[in-house]
Amino acid sequence: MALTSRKALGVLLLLCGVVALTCARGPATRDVVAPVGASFEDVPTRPGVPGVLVVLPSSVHTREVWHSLRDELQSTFDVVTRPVSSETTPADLMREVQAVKPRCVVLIGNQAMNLYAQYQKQVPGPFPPAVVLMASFFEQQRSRLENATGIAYEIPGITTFVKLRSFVYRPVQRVGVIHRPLFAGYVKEQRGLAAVEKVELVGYEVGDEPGPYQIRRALDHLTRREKVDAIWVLNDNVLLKPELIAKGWLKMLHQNPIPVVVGVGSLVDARLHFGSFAMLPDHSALGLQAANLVFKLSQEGWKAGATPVELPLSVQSVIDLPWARQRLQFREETLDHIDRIVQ
Amino acid sequence: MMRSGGGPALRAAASAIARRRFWVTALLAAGALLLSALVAFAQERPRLVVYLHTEVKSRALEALLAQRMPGTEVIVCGRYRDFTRELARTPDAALALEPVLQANALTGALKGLRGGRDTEPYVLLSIGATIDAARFSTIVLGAVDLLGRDGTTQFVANLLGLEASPEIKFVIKSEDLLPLLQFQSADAVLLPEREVVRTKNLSKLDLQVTPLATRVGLPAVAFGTEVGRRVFRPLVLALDSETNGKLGVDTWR
Repeated sequence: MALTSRKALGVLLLLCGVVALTCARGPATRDVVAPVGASFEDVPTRPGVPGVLVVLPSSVHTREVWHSLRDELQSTFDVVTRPVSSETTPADLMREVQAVKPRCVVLIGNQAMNLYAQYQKQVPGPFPPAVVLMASFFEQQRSRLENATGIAYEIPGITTFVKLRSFVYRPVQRVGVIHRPLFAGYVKEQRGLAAVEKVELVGYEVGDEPGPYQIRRALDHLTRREKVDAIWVLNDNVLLKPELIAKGWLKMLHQNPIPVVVGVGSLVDARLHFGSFAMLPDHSALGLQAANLVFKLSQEGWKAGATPVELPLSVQSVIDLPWARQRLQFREETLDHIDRIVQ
Repeated sequence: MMRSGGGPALRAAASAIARRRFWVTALLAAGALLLSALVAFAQERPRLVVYLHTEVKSRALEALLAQRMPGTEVIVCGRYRDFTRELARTPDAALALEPVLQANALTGALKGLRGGRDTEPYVLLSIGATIDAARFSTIVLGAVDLLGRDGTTQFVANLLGLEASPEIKFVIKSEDLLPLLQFQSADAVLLPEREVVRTKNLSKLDLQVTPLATRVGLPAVAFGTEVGRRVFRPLVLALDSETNGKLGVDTWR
Protein backbone atom coordinates (compact mmCIF):
# COMPACT_ATOMS: atom_id res chain seq x y z
CA MET A 1 0.00 0.00 0.00
CA ALA A 2 1.83 3.09 -1.23
CA LEU A 3 1.47 6.32 0.64
CA THR A 4 -0.02 9.24 -1.23
CA SER A 5 1.58 12.64 -0.62
CA ARG A 6 -1.37 13.80 1.56
CA LYS A 7 -1.23 10.62 3.52
CA ALA A 8 2.53 10.95 3.84
CA LEU A 9 2.14 14.50 5.15
CA GLY A 10 -0.41 13.29 7.69
CA VAL A 11 1.84 10.44 8.71
CA LEU A 12 4.78 12.81 9.07
CA LEU A 13 2.82 15.21 11.27
CA LEU A 14 1.53 12.36 13.40
CA LEU A 15 4.98 10.88 13.71
CA CYS A 16 6.50 14.21 14.65
CA GLY A 17 4.16 14.24 17.63
CA VAL A 18 4.63 10.58 18.47
CA VAL A 19 8.37 10.51 18.15
CA ALA A 20 8.98 13.87 19.79
CA LEU A 21 7.25 12.49 22.85
CA THR A 22 9.28 9.35 22.98
CA CYS A 23 12.69 10.24 21.63
CA ALA A 24 15.71 12.24 22.61
CA ARG A 25 19.19 11.93 21.13
CA GLY A 26 20.95 8.59 20.89
CA PRO A 27 19.28 5.55 22.39
CA ALA A 28 15.61 6.13 23.04
CA THR A 29 14.64 7.15 26.53
CA ARG A 30 11.20 6.78 28.01
CA ASP A 31 11.42 8.47 31.34
CA VAL A 32 9.85 11.78 32.30
CA VAL A 33 6.79 10.96 30.26
CA ALA A 34 4.34 13.04 32.19
CA PRO A 35 4.81 15.03 35.35
CA VAL A 36 2.83 13.78 38.28
CA GLY A 37 1.33 16.30 40.61
CA ALA A 38 1.25 14.27 43.80
CA SER A 39 4.41 14.02 45.86
CA PHE A 40 6.13 10.79 46.83
CA GLU A 41 4.98 10.01 50.35
CA ASP A 42 7.59 8.35 52.55
CA VAL A 43 6.69 6.88 55.90
CA PRO A 44 8.65 8.44 58.79
CA THR A 45 12.09 6.95 59.30
CA ARG A 46 12.61 4.60 62.26
CA PRO A 47 15.66 4.59 64.52
CA GLY A 48 18.09 1.81 63.76
CA VAL A 49 16.44 0.90 60.44
CA PRO A 50 18.77 1.09 57.43
CA GLY A 51 17.76 3.57 54.76
CA VAL A 52 17.42 3.21 51.01
CA LEU A 53 17.63 6.49 49.12
CA VAL A 54 15.52 6.48 45.96
CA VAL A 55 16.38 9.19 43.43
CA LEU A 56 14.00 9.65 40.53
CA PRO A 57 12.27 12.13 38.24
CA SER A 58 8.53 12.34 38.64
CA SER A 59 6.59 10.59 35.89
CA VAL A 60 3.80 8.07 35.54
CA HIS A 61 6.26 5.23 34.98
CA THR A 62 8.79 6.15 37.67
CA ARG A 63 5.93 6.47 40.14
CA GLU A 64 4.71 2.99 39.25
CA VAL A 65 8.19 1.55 39.83
CA TRP A 66 8.58 3.50 43.07
CA HIS A 67 5.23 2.35 44.42
CA SER A 68 6.05 -1.31 43.95
CA LEU A 69 9.64 -0.88 45.18
CA ARG A 70 8.55 0.95 48.32
CA ASP A 71 5.88 -1.66 49.11
CA GLU A 72 8.50 -4.40 48.98
CA LEU A 73 11.27 -2.62 50.86
CA GLN A 74 9.49 -0.72 53.60
CA SER A 75 9.16 -3.55 56.10
CA THR A 76 12.96 -3.93 56.18
CA PHE A 77 14.28 -0.53 55.10
CA ASP A 78 13.35 3.12 55.51
CA VAL A 79 12.65 4.32 51.99
CA VAL A 80 13.67 7.96 51.53
CA THR A 81 12.55 9.39 48.20
CA ARG A 82 14.10 12.40 46.51
CA PRO A 83 12.59 13.54 43.20
CA VAL A 84 15.00 15.22 40.80
CA SER A 85 14.38 17.71 38.04
CA SER A 86 16.45 19.52 35.45
CA GLU A 87 17.35 21.99 38.23
CA THR A 88 18.92 19.35 40.48
CA THR A 89 22.72 19.47 40.68
CA PRO A 90 25.29 16.86 41.74
CA ALA A 91 25.85 19.00 44.85
CA ASP A 92 22.17 18.60 45.77
CA LEU A 93 22.54 14.86 45.43
CA MET A 94 25.70 14.89 47.53
CA ARG A 95 23.83 16.73 50.32
CA GLU A 96 21.06 14.11 50.22
CA VAL A 97 23.50 11.21 50.38
CA GLN A 98 25.31 12.85 53.30
CA ALA A 99 22.08 13.59 55.13
CA VAL A 100 20.39 10.20 54.62
CA LYS A 101 23.51 8.01 54.86
CA PRO A 102 21.74 5.30 52.88
CA ARG A 103 22.69 1.64 52.95
CA CYS A 104 21.83 1.59 49.26
CA VAL A 105 20.88 4.12 46.58
CA VAL A 106 18.29 3.34 43.92
CA LEU A 107 18.65 5.53 40.83
CA ILE A 108 15.63 5.56 38.54
CA GLY A 109 16.02 6.96 35.02
CA ASN A 110 18.83 8.50 32.98
CA GLN A 111 18.69 11.82 34.79
CA ALA A 112 19.21 10.28 38.24
CA MET A 113 21.98 8.02 36.93
CA ASN A 114 23.79 10.89 35.21
CA LEU A 115 23.59 13.07 38.34
CA TYR A 116 24.99 10.25 40.44
CA ALA A 117 27.84 9.69 37.96
CA GLN A 118 28.71 13.39 38.17
CA TYR A 119 28.52 13.28 41.97
CA GLN A 120 30.89 10.30 42.03
CA LYS A 121 33.36 12.22 39.85
CA GLN A 122 33.38 15.16 42.24
CA VAL A 123 33.72 13.30 45.53
CA PRO A 124 36.26 10.70 46.64
CA GLY A 125 34.64 7.35 47.54
CA PRO A 126 33.73 4.98 48.97
CA PHE A 127 30.18 5.17 47.69
CA PRO A 128 27.10 3.31 48.88
CA PRO A 129 25.98 0.52 46.54
CA ALA A 130 23.69 1.74 43.80
CA VAL A 131 20.93 -0.02 41.87
CA VAL A 132 20.07 1.61 38.55
CA LEU A 133 16.72 1.21 36.79
CA MET A 134 15.05 2.66 33.72
CA ALA A 135 18.32 3.95 32.29
CA SER A 136 18.95 3.48 28.58
CA PHE A 137 21.37 0.70 27.74
CA PHE A 138 22.65 0.62 31.32
CA GLU A 139 24.90 -2.36 30.77
CA GLN A 140 26.92 -0.31 28.27
CA GLN A 141 27.00 2.68 30.68
CA ARG A 142 27.72 0.78 33.87
CA SER A 143 31.44 1.59 33.82
CA ARG A 144 30.59 5.26 34.46
CA LEU A 145 29.51 4.35 38.00
CA GLU A 146 31.36 2.85 40.92
CA ASN A 147 29.82 0.11 43.04
CA ALA A 148 26.68 -0.08 40.93
CA THR A 149 24.48 -2.73 39.42
CA GLY A 150 20.96 -2.61 38.06
CA ILE A 151 18.36 -3.89 35.69
CA ALA A 152 18.52 -3.26 31.96
CA TYR A 153 15.55 -1.26 30.67
CA GLU A 154 15.41 -2.67 27.15
CA ILE A 155 13.21 -5.72 26.73
CA PRO A 156 15.42 -8.59 25.51
CA GLY A 157 14.71 -9.90 22.03
CA ILE A 158 14.13 -13.41 23.38
CA THR A 159 11.21 -12.23 25.54
CA THR A 160 9.77 -10.29 22.64
CA PHE A 161 10.04 -13.17 20.18
CA VAL A 162 8.57 -15.78 22.52
CA LYS A 163 5.60 -13.50 23.19
CA LEU A 164 5.18 -12.77 19.50
CA ARG A 165 5.26 -16.49 18.72
CA SER A 166 2.32 -16.99 21.05
CA PHE A 167 0.27 -14.23 19.40
CA VAL A 168 0.42 -15.24 15.72
CA TYR A 169 -0.15 -18.47 13.83
CA ARG A 170 2.64 -17.79 11.36
CA PRO A 171 6.05 -19.14 12.38
CA VAL A 172 8.56 -16.87 14.09
CA GLN A 173 11.91 -18.55 13.50
CA ARG A 174 13.94 -15.78 11.87
CA VAL A 175 13.66 -12.20 13.02
CA GLY A 176 15.29 -9.28 11.26
CA VAL A 177 16.74 -6.24 12.98
CA ILE A 178 18.17 -3.07 11.47
CA HIS A 179 20.88 -1.44 13.55
CA ARG A 180 23.60 1.15 13.43
CA PRO A 181 27.27 0.23 14.09
CA LEU A 182 26.87 1.58 17.66
CA PHE A 183 24.44 -1.24 18.42
CA ALA A 184 26.39 -4.10 16.82
CA GLY A 185 27.53 -5.47 20.19
CA TYR A 186 24.04 -5.30 21.62
CA VAL A 187 22.59 -7.13 18.62
CA LYS A 188 25.26 -9.81 18.95
CA GLU A 189 24.32 -10.38 22.60
CA GLN A 190 20.66 -10.55 21.69
CA ARG A 191 21.41 -13.05 18.93
CA GLY A 192 23.00 -15.37 21.48
CA LEU A 193 20.05 -15.07 23.84
CA ALA A 194 17.47 -15.58 21.09
CA ALA A 195 19.21 -18.80 20.01
CA VAL A 196 18.23 -20.28 23.40
CA GLU A 197 14.63 -20.25 22.14
CA LYS A 198 15.60 -21.39 18.63
CA VAL A 199 15.03 -17.96 17.10
CA GLU A 200 17.61 -16.71 14.64
CA LEU A 201 18.22 -12.97 14.83
CA VAL A 202 19.31 -11.64 11.45
CA GLY A 203 21.01 -8.26 11.67
CA TYR A 204 21.43 -5.65 8.95
CA GLU A 205 23.84 -2.85 9.71
CA VAL A 206 23.15 0.59 8.28
CA GLY A 207 25.31 3.71 8.54
CA ASP A 208 25.47 6.07 11.50
CA GLU A 209 23.04 8.49 9.90
CA PRO A 210 20.93 6.42 7.52
CA GLY A 211 18.44 7.98 5.12
CA PRO A 212 15.06 6.55 4.06
CA TYR A 213 16.66 4.73 1.14
CA GLN A 214 19.00 2.79 3.43
CA ILE A 215 16.09 1.77 5.62
CA ARG A 216 14.10 0.61 2.59
CA ARG A 217 17.08 -1.30 1.25
CA ALA A 218 17.67 -2.95 4.62
CA LEU A 219 14.03 -3.98 4.92
CA ASP A 220 14.00 -5.24 1.36
CA HIS A 221 17.07 -7.34 2.09
CA LEU A 222 15.66 -8.75 5.31
CA THR A 223 12.19 -9.53 4.00
CA ARG A 224 12.93 -10.68 0.41
CA ARG A 225 16.41 -12.13 0.56
CA GLU A 226 16.63 -13.30 4.16
CA LYS A 227 12.90 -14.08 4.30
CA VAL A 228 12.63 -13.16 7.96
CA ASP A 229 9.34 -13.88 9.71
CA ALA A 230 9.23 -10.64 11.70
CA ILE A 231 11.05 -7.36 12.21
CA TRP A 232 12.28 -6.18 15.61
CA VAL A 233 12.72 -2.41 15.87
CA LEU A 234 15.35 -1.22 18.34
CA ASN A 235 14.74 1.83 20.51
CA ASP A 236 17.26 3.88 18.58
CA ASN A 237 15.95 7.38 17.94
CA VAL A 238 18.16 7.88 14.93
CA LEU A 239 16.30 5.04 13.19
CA LEU A 240 12.96 6.34 14.40
CA LYS A 241 13.03 9.86 13.01
CA PRO A 242 9.64 10.77 11.55
CA GLU A 243 11.07 11.13 8.06
CA LEU A 244 12.67 7.68 8.21
CA ILE A 245 9.46 6.10 9.45
CA ALA A 246 7.29 7.74 6.78
CA LYS A 247 9.62 7.41 3.81
CA GLY A 248 11.61 4.38 4.86
CA TRP A 249 9.96 1.92 7.23
CA LEU A 250 6.30 2.37 6.32
CA LYS A 251 6.82 2.30 2.57
CA MET A 252 8.30 -1.16 2.74
CA LEU A 253 6.31 -2.59 5.61
CA HIS A 254 2.95 -1.65 4.09
CA GLN A 255 3.93 -3.37 0.85
CA ASN A 256 4.96 -6.56 2.57
CA PRO A 257 3.14 -6.89 5.90
CA ILE A 258 4.96 -8.96 8.49
CA PRO A 259 4.84 -8.62 12.28
CA VAL A 260 6.81 -5.60 13.44
CA VAL A 261 7.64 -5.42 17.13
CA VAL A 262 8.59 -2.06 18.61
CA GLY A 263 9.68 -0.99 22.08
CA VAL A 264 7.69 2.24 22.27
CA GLY A 265 3.94 2.03 22.87
CA SER A 266 3.08 5.12 20.86
CA LEU A 267 4.50 3.52 17.71
CA VAL A 268 1.61 1.05 17.77
CA ASP A 269 -1.02 3.17 16.11
CA ALA A 270 -4.08 2.01 14.22
CA ARG A 271 -3.68 4.85 11.68
CA LEU A 272 0.03 4.35 11.01
CA HIS A 273 0.28 0.56 11.15
CA PHE A 274 3.98 0.71 11.97
CA GLY A 275 4.46 -1.41 15.08
CA SER A 276 2.00 -4.28 14.99
CA PHE A 277 3.05 -5.20 18.52
CA ALA A 278 4.95 -3.38 21.25
CA MET A 279 6.69 -5.08 24.15
CA LEU A 280 7.22 -2.61 26.96
CA PRO A 281 8.66 -2.83 30.46
CA ASP A 282 6.13 -3.68 33.16
CA HIS A 283 7.01 -0.95 35.64
CA SER A 284 5.26 -2.47 38.61
CA ALA A 285 7.13 -5.74 38.08
CA LEU A 286 10.34 -3.76 37.59
CA GLY A 287 9.90 -2.30 41.07
CA LEU A 288 9.56 -5.80 42.53
CA GLN A 289 12.62 -7.00 40.62
CA ALA A 290 14.61 -4.02 41.92
CA ALA A 291 13.53 -4.81 45.47
CA ASN A 292 14.71 -8.41 44.92
CA LEU A 293 18.07 -7.00 43.87
CA VAL A 294 18.33 -4.77 46.97
CA PHE A 295 17.54 -7.76 49.22
CA LYS A 296 20.07 -9.88 47.34
CA LEU A 297 22.75 -7.19 47.83
CA SER A 298 21.92 -6.95 51.54
CA GLN A 299 22.30 -10.72 51.92
CA GLU A 300 25.55 -10.82 49.98
CA GLY A 301 27.44 -7.94 51.61
CA TRP A 302 26.35 -5.01 49.42
CA LYS A 303 28.85 -5.76 46.65
CA ALA A 304 26.95 -4.04 43.88
CA GLY A 305 29.96 -3.72 41.61
CA ALA A 306 30.34 -7.50 41.55
CA THR A 307 26.66 -8.21 40.96
CA PRO A 308 25.65 -8.77 37.33
CA VAL A 309 23.19 -6.45 35.65
CA GLU A 310 19.86 -8.25 35.36
CA LEU A 311 17.55 -8.39 32.40
CA PRO A 312 13.95 -7.24 32.90
CA LEU A 313 11.66 -10.21 33.49
CA SER A 314 8.28 -8.75 32.83
CA VAL A 315 6.71 -7.09 29.82
CA GLN A 316 3.46 -5.47 28.90
CA SER A 317 2.21 -6.09 25.40
CA VAL A 318 0.37 -3.77 23.04
CA ILE A 319 -1.30 -4.78 19.77
CA ASP A 320 -2.55 -2.98 16.67
CA LEU A 321 -5.56 -5.25 16.57
CA PRO A 322 -7.09 -4.38 13.16
CA TRP A 323 -3.72 -4.83 11.43
CA ALA A 324 -2.89 -8.02 13.29
CA ARG A 325 -6.28 -9.49 12.44
CA GLN A 326 -6.21 -8.54 8.77
CA ARG A 327 -2.58 -9.20 7.93
CA LEU A 328 -0.73 -11.19 10.55
CA GLN A 329 -2.75 -14.32 11.32
CA PHE A 330 -3.43 -13.22 14.86
CA ARG A 331 -4.52 -15.90 17.36
CA GLU A 332 -7.83 -14.57 18.67
CA GLU A 333 -7.63 -16.73 21.79
CA THR A 334 -4.60 -14.75 22.98
CA LEU A 335 -6.43 -11.43 23.05
CA ASP A 336 -6.97 -11.81 26.81
CA HIS A 337 -3.21 -12.17 27.26
CA ILE A 338 -2.48 -8.70 25.85
CA ASP A 339 -2.26 -5.67 28.11
CA ARG A 340 -3.33 -2.92 25.73
CA ILE A 341 -5.34 -3.12 22.55
CA VAL A 342 -5.13 -0.36 19.95
CA GLN A 343 -7.97 -0.18 17.43
CA MET B 1 -2.81 45.21 22.48
CA MET B 2 -5.31 47.81 23.78
CA ARG B 3 -3.58 50.44 25.93
CA SER B 4 -6.13 53.24 26.45
CA GLY B 5 -9.84 54.13 26.17
CA GLY B 6 -10.72 50.71 27.52
CA GLY B 7 -13.79 51.56 29.73
CA PRO B 8 -16.58 49.77 27.78
CA ALA B 9 -14.18 47.14 26.59
CA LEU B 10 -13.06 46.46 30.14
CA ARG B 11 -16.68 46.18 31.33
CA ALA B 12 -17.43 43.79 28.47
CA ALA B 13 -14.35 41.77 29.34
CA ALA B 14 -15.34 41.72 33.03
CA SER B 15 -18.83 40.58 32.11
CA ALA B 16 -17.38 37.85 29.86
CA ILE B 17 -15.12 36.71 32.70
CA ALA B 18 -18.08 36.65 35.12
CA ARG B 19 -20.10 34.57 32.64
CA ARG B 20 -17.20 32.22 32.16
CA ARG B 21 -16.76 31.90 35.93
CA PHE B 22 -20.47 31.11 36.29
CA TRP B 23 -20.29 28.35 33.68
CA VAL B 24 -17.05 26.96 35.08
CA THR B 25 -18.55 26.87 38.59
CA ALA B 26 -21.73 25.28 37.27
CA LEU B 27 -19.78 22.68 35.34
CA LEU B 28 -17.59 21.89 38.35
CA ALA B 29 -20.65 21.54 40.56
CA ALA B 30 -22.32 19.26 38.03
CA GLY B 31 -19.14 17.22 37.75
CA ALA B 32 -18.88 16.91 41.53
CA LEU B 33 -22.51 15.81 41.74
CA LEU B 34 -22.01 13.25 39.01
CA LEU B 35 -18.83 11.97 40.66
CA SER B 36 -20.46 11.65 44.06
CA ALA B 37 -23.42 9.86 42.47
CA LEU B 38 -21.04 7.46 40.73
CA VAL B 39 -19.10 6.88 43.95
CA ALA B 40 -22.33 6.30 45.85
CA PHE B 41 -23.50 3.91 43.11
CA ALA B 42 -20.19 2.02 43.22
CA GLN B 43 -20.31 1.88 47.01
CA GLU B 44 -23.82 0.54 47.06
CA ARG B 45 -23.06 -2.33 44.71
CA PRO B 46 -21.83 -5.52 46.38
CA ARG B 47 -18.06 -5.76 45.89
CA LEU B 48 -16.04 -8.83 44.96
CA VAL B 49 -12.25 -8.65 45.20
CA VAL B 50 -10.35 -11.17 43.11
CA TYR B 51 -6.68 -12.12 43.36
CA LEU B 52 -5.63 -14.94 41.06
CA HIS B 53 -2.61 -15.58 38.88
CA THR B 54 -4.11 -16.68 35.60
CA GLU B 55 -2.86 -16.39 32.05
CA VAL B 56 -5.66 -13.89 31.44
CA LYS B 57 -4.73 -10.28 32.10
CA SER B 58 -6.38 -8.62 35.12
CA ARG B 59 -8.13 -6.16 32.82
CA ALA B 60 -9.70 -8.95 30.77
CA LEU B 61 -10.63 -11.02 33.81
CA GLU B 62 -12.23 -8.02 35.49
CA ALA B 63 -14.27 -7.27 32.36
CA LEU B 64 -15.35 -10.90 32.02
CA LEU B 65 -16.44 -11.24 35.66
CA ALA B 66 -18.18 -7.87 35.61
CA GLN B 67 -20.14 -9.08 32.59
CA ARG B 68 -21.06 -12.35 34.32
CA MET B 69 -22.00 -10.60 37.56
CA PRO B 70 -24.18 -7.64 36.60
CA GLY B 71 -25.09 -5.20 39.34
CA THR B 72 -21.93 -5.90 41.28
CA GLU B 73 -18.51 -4.33 41.46
CA VAL B 74 -15.61 -6.63 40.60
CA ILE B 75 -12.03 -5.63 41.37
CA VAL B 76 -9.20 -7.84 40.13
CA CYS B 77 -5.85 -7.31 41.87
CA GLY B 78 -2.57 -8.26 40.25
CA ARG B 79 -0.41 -7.97 43.36
CA TYR B 80 -0.80 -9.44 46.83
CA ARG B 81 -0.36 -6.05 48.47
CA ASP B 82 -3.16 -4.58 46.37
CA PHE B 83 -5.34 -7.50 47.43
CA THR B 84 -4.63 -6.98 51.13
CA ARG B 85 -5.36 -3.26 50.71
CA GLU B 86 -8.70 -4.13 49.16
CA LEU B 87 -9.43 -6.59 51.97
CA ALA B 88 -8.88 -3.75 54.43
CA ARG B 89 -11.88 -2.05 52.80
CA THR B 90 -14.04 -5.06 53.84
CA PRO B 91 -15.39 -6.27 50.51
CA ASP B 92 -18.57 -8.35 50.40
CA ALA B 93 -16.66 -11.30 48.96
CA ALA B 94 -13.11 -12.32 48.09
CA LEU B 95 -11.97 -14.85 45.49
CA ALA B 96 -8.42 -16.20 45.74
CA LEU B 97 -6.46 -19.39 46.19
CA GLU B 98 -7.38 -21.16 49.42
CA PRO B 99 -3.95 -20.53 51.06
CA VAL B 100 -4.25 -16.83 50.25
CA LEU B 101 -7.64 -16.66 51.94
CA GLN B 102 -6.31 -18.60 54.93
CA ALA B 103 -3.33 -16.26 55.26
CA ASN B 104 -5.83 -13.44 55.67
CA ALA B 105 -8.02 -15.27 58.21
CA LEU B 106 -10.75 -15.93 55.64
CA THR B 107 -12.53 -19.21 55.04
CA GLY B 108 -13.46 -20.41 51.58
CA ALA B 109 -17.23 -20.94 51.80
CA LEU B 110 -17.42 -21.85 48.11
CA LYS B 111 -14.62 -24.06 46.88
CA GLY B 112 -13.50 -24.39 43.30
CA LEU B 113 -13.11 -27.96 42.04
CA ARG B 114 -11.14 -29.43 39.18
CA GLY B 115 -11.34 -33.11 38.39
CA GLY B 116 -13.55 -33.45 41.47
CA ARG B 117 -10.88 -32.20 43.89
CA ASP B 118 -10.42 -28.86 45.63
CA THR B 119 -6.63 -29.00 45.55
CA GLU B 120 -4.08 -29.20 42.75
CA PRO B 121 -0.51 -30.43 42.42
CA TYR B 122 2.44 -28.10 41.98
CA VAL B 123 5.68 -28.88 40.14
CA LEU B 124 9.16 -27.56 39.55
CA LEU B 125 10.10 -26.81 35.98
CA SER B 126 13.77 -26.82 35.03
CA ILE B 127 15.94 -27.08 31.92
CA GLY B 128 17.48 -30.33 30.82
CA ALA B 129 17.01 -32.42 33.97
CA THR B 130 14.60 -32.79 36.86
CA ILE B 131 15.60 -31.54 40.32
CA ASP B 132 16.59 -34.12 42.89
CA ALA B 133 14.80 -33.58 46.22
CA ALA B 134 18.18 -33.59 47.97
CA ARG B 135 19.04 -30.37 46.08
CA PHE B 136 15.84 -28.49 46.97
CA SER B 137 17.46 -26.45 49.73
CA THR B 138 20.36 -25.21 47.58
CA ILE B 139 18.68 -24.26 44.31
CA VAL B 140 17.66 -20.78 43.20
CA LEU B 141 13.93 -21.00 42.67
CA GLY B 142 11.61 -18.70 40.74
CA ALA B 143 8.17 -18.24 42.27
CA VAL B 144 5.18 -15.95 41.91
CA ASP B 145 4.90 -13.52 44.84
CA LEU B 146 1.66 -15.17 45.94
CA LEU B 147 1.56 -14.13 49.60
CA GLY B 148 4.07 -11.31 49.99
CA ARG B 149 7.78 -11.88 50.58
CA ASP B 150 7.57 -13.65 53.96
CA GLY B 151 4.35 -15.53 53.26
CA THR B 152 5.58 -16.82 49.91
CA THR B 153 8.88 -17.90 51.43
CA GLN B 154 7.01 -20.00 53.98
CA PHE B 155 4.60 -21.30 51.32
CA VAL B 156 7.53 -22.46 49.16
CA ALA B 157 9.30 -24.10 52.10
CA ASN B 158 6.10 -26.03 52.94
CA LEU B 159 5.68 -27.18 49.35
CA LEU B 160 9.26 -28.39 49.16
CA GLY B 161 9.04 -30.04 52.56
CA LEU B 162 11.84 -27.88 53.96
CA GLU B 163 12.20 -25.94 57.19
CA ALA B 164 13.77 -22.99 55.39
CA SER B 165 13.08 -22.05 51.81
CA PRO B 166 15.87 -21.91 49.21
CA GLU B 167 16.78 -18.58 47.59
CA ILE B 168 13.70 -17.30 45.81
CA LYS B 169 13.45 -14.98 42.83
CA PHE B 170 10.00 -13.43 43.15
CA VAL B 171 7.95 -12.42 40.11
CA ILE B 172 4.58 -10.68 39.90
CA LYS B 173 3.01 -12.82 37.15
CA SER B 174 3.30 -16.50 36.36
CA GLU B 175 4.26 -15.65 32.75
CA ASP B 176 7.46 -14.06 34.13
CA LEU B 177 8.73 -17.42 35.37
CA LEU B 178 9.86 -18.57 31.92
CA PRO B 179 12.34 -15.67 31.47
CA LEU B 180 14.00 -16.70 34.74
CA LEU B 181 14.85 -20.03 33.09
CA GLN B 182 15.75 -18.46 29.74
CA PHE B 183 18.19 -16.02 31.41
CA GLN B 184 19.50 -18.80 33.68
CA SER B 185 18.61 -16.64 36.68
CA ALA B 186 16.96 -19.59 38.42
CA ASP B 187 17.61 -23.33 38.49
CA ALA B 188 13.90 -24.07 38.52
CA VAL B 189 10.55 -22.37 38.76
CA LEU B 190 7.53 -23.32 40.84
CA LEU B 191 4.10 -23.44 39.23
CA PRO B 192 0.80 -25.35 39.28
CA GLU B 193 0.93 -28.50 37.18
CA ARG B 194 -1.91 -27.22 34.98
CA GLU B 195 0.39 -24.46 33.67
CA VAL B 196 3.07 -26.85 32.46
CA VAL B 197 1.53 -27.54 29.05
CA ARG B 198 1.04 -23.85 28.31
CA THR B 199 4.61 -23.02 29.34
CA LYS B 200 6.03 -25.87 27.28
CA ASN B 201 4.00 -24.69 24.29
CA LEU B 202 5.51 -21.23 24.61
CA SER B 203 9.11 -22.36 24.81
CA LYS B 204 11.54 -24.46 22.80
CA LEU B 205 13.63 -25.14 25.92
CA ASP B 206 13.99 -28.74 27.07
CA LEU B 207 11.74 -28.25 30.10
CA GLN B 208 11.63 -31.04 32.66
CA VAL B 209 8.98 -31.51 35.33
CA THR B 210 9.67 -32.43 38.97
CA PRO B 211 6.37 -33.25 40.74
CA LEU B 212 5.90 -32.15 44.34
CA ALA B 213 4.00 -34.19 46.90
CA THR B 214 2.08 -31.39 48.63
CA ARG B 215 -1.09 -30.17 46.95
CA VAL B 216 -2.38 -26.58 47.07
CA GLY B 217 -5.95 -25.38 47.51
CA LEU B 218 -7.75 -24.20 44.37
CA PRO B 219 -9.54 -20.86 44.12
CA ALA B 220 -12.26 -20.38 46.71
CA VAL B 221 -14.69 -17.64 47.65
CA ALA B 222 -14.98 -16.15 51.13
CA PHE B 223 -17.92 -13.98 52.06
CA GLY B 224 -17.28 -10.86 54.09
CA THR B 225 -20.92 -9.84 54.53
CA GLU B 226 -24.35 -11.43 54.42
CA VAL B 227 -25.10 -9.36 51.32
CA GLY B 228 -22.00 -10.83 49.75
CA ARG B 229 -23.17 -14.36 50.48
CA ARG B 230 -26.67 -13.68 49.16
CA VAL B 231 -25.49 -11.95 45.97
CA PHE B 232 -22.28 -13.71 44.99
CA ARG B 233 -23.01 -17.32 45.95
CA PRO B 234 -25.59 -17.87 43.16
CA LEU B 235 -23.56 -15.81 40.70
CA VAL B 236 -20.40 -17.88 41.26
CA LEU B 237 -22.32 -21.16 41.14
CA ALA B 238 -23.83 -20.08 37.81
CA LEU B 239 -20.53 -19.22 36.12
CA ASP B 240 -20.16 -20.85 32.71
CA SER B 241 -17.40 -23.29 31.87
CA GLU B 242 -15.41 -20.73 29.86
CA THR B 243 -15.23 -18.36 32.83
CA ASN B 244 -14.50 -21.19 35.25
CA GLY B 245 -11.72 -22.38 32.96
CA LYS B 246 -10.15 -18.95 33.09
CA LEU B 247 -10.34 -19.04 36.89
CA GLY B 248 -8.62 -22.45 36.89
CA VAL B 249 -11.60 -24.57 38.05
CA ASP B 250 -14.30 -26.81 36.53
CA THR B 251 -17.07 -26.10 38.98
CA TRP B 252 -17.90 -24.81 42.50
CA ARG B 253 -19.21 -26.48 45.62
